[in-house]
Amino acid sequence: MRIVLIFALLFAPPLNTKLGAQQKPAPLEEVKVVATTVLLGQLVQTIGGDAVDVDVLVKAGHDPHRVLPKASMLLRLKNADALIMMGLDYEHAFLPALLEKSRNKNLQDGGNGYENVGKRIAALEVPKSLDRSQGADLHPRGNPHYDLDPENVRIMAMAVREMLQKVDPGRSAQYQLRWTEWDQAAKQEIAIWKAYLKPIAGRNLIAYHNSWPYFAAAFQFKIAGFVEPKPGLRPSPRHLAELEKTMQQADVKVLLMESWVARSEASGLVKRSGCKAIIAPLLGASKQNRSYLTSMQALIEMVGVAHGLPTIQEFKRDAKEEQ
Amino acid sequence: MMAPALLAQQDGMSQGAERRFDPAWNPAIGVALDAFGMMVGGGDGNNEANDSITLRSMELSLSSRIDPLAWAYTSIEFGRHEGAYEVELAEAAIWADQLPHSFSLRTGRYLADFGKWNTVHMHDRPHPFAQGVRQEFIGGSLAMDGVELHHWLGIGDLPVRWSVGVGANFAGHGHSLLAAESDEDLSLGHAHGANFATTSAGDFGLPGFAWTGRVSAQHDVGDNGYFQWGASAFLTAAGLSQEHDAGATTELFELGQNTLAIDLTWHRLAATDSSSDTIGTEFFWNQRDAVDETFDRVERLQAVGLWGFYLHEFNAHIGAGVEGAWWEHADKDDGGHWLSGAEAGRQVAIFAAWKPTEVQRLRLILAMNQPDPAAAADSILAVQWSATIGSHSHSLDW
Repeated sequence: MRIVLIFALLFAPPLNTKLGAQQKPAPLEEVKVVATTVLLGQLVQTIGGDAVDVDVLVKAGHDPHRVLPKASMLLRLKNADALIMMGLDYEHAFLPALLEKSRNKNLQDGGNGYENVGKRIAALEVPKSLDRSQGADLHPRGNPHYDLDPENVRIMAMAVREMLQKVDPGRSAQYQLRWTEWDQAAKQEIAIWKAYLKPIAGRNLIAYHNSWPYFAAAFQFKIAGFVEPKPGLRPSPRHLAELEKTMQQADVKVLLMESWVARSEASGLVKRSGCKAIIAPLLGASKQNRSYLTSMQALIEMVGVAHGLPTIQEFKRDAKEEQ
Repeated sequence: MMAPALLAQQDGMSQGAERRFDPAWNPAIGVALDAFGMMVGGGDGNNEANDSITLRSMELSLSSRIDPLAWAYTSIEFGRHEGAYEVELAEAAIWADQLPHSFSLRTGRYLADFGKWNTVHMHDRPHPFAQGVRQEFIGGSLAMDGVELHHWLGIGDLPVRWSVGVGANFAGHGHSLLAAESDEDLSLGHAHGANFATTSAGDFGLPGFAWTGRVSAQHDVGDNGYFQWGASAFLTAAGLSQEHDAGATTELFELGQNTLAIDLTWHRLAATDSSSDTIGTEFFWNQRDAVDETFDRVERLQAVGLWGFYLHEFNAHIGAGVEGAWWEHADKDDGGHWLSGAEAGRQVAIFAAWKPTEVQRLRLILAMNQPDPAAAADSILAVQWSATIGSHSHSLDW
């Protein structure tokens, strides 16, 4: 009996096992995160704070279709604890090959540090069939520019929080707290932006590239046409003339474009039609656009002002006075 | 009444797996077309035969991951050889790419890791013509049956890659348009080891093998640019052979060749307008055995050559560039003529490129080609049209 007791004591789980399971895991010294875009990088930095070291692969204003895959990116991926990406083939031009060569198992699909935000998004414009005659920049899983809907950016922030909590559970509460603060601020701002743009809901816009369906859906605009005749193709004079006619008929006041597109092709159209060309502010490129909330506000304000609305500051002041 | 299991089998169904292999066939399949229209003037005055419209190559490629440990690819080319089209297996290899510590192993027939551009197929290169110096010393892109071990690592923040390979049946691979590319006259040709003494026989035992090696590092320059350097070697002690008809008997000589190459590449891509610049250059040093038929002996010859290009892309669609090469003849036998121009071949081309989409490209090319300094130079006006159908992807190339 004594022997049995001795064995039972030897092999019995230690008394602190149950406690151990509940013990807070030790936080990582530093969480190395690779983010594919500046916005994702900023969200990681905002929610992760000093605990994270973020590397961004596509710098501010770079065309994601023309990212230069560099060997240094391999090293960053190899040494990272986590990778967060837009998904929906946004990074198809450079990431798959880098990821495969990096050999970091944590960062492969299904790995502990792999976060593909696109999988959480209700994608728009998922094609029923794909054909190269439809254009050059085609996305079989749907339009990947979902970060132009601020509600989707809240989903992105949530994905960042969950990824950090998974990789570094020791700081779970800290990440939760920082995310809650950011999300509450974002919710308030989004409500203001929607109220601000409400008077011009239903208006027609045109875009250079088909990057704006989420923006249009979020603020109830309609996209009347594109400068590119098909995604990734340069416009012909005939196409531009037809677009100009459409703009007149649809009373279009705004052309939305990214910083990397050929502005020379749009400038003639802007001159002739009298519309305002709005280039999406580059997140992180200036003091005014240091954070997502300020750069998105700048974009929304540009669209509003081009349609005769006051500035957001004035709108807020007027709303306060009415109260 | 039959038992249910038997019924299921008769209906072509069963409760377990009946098929040993998954019938799915779903590799990435791509076709690349590379066509030229050329007008040739100057030279020996017999250039009308060289005015042509020709398909330089049609490449059919298939690639797929075969299991979690490896992937495989093949590249079958359809191109002109001595005026007729032929089908050739350019590459067929397996990559074991999940070895520990960032090692990988390739085996099969492949374009060897020798120089920055050897593994890049002609239609994918940022310049229209094959490098004259590489054609002179190797006969085209260096292809072989063999095995290559690759490894990459970080030395601090600097990514470094190296490889070593050993193989047999090596040959220069390419689809030639210019005299410098085919080592012949200006007729369209298909270079298969044209500039090796002969194609590798592959049956000379260990000394008959060819060894390759490469080390390369890539330094970041700004947010979206890099500078890369690389050093490569191709060595064979006796992998080449040449028959010498010595009267009543035929003597077979086993010959060696050592070629070293240093490559430098700078590339930058502008963030705001998608303009880009690329400068690349490669220096070659070649040492080879040759049969001195007068004295019926083997002598060792040396030659050097240089090649480079510059490409400026104004945006994603329009670009312009220049490429040039200068090389001493591999079989020159009277000492060095470094930069003297004597016994040297040269080629220069300027070109403008238009890419309506990322899968289609047109180039207008004006070129001067003088592989033989004793003959007059040829001037060439050419239009190149390249396109890809289906899947065509490029891995990180460094």
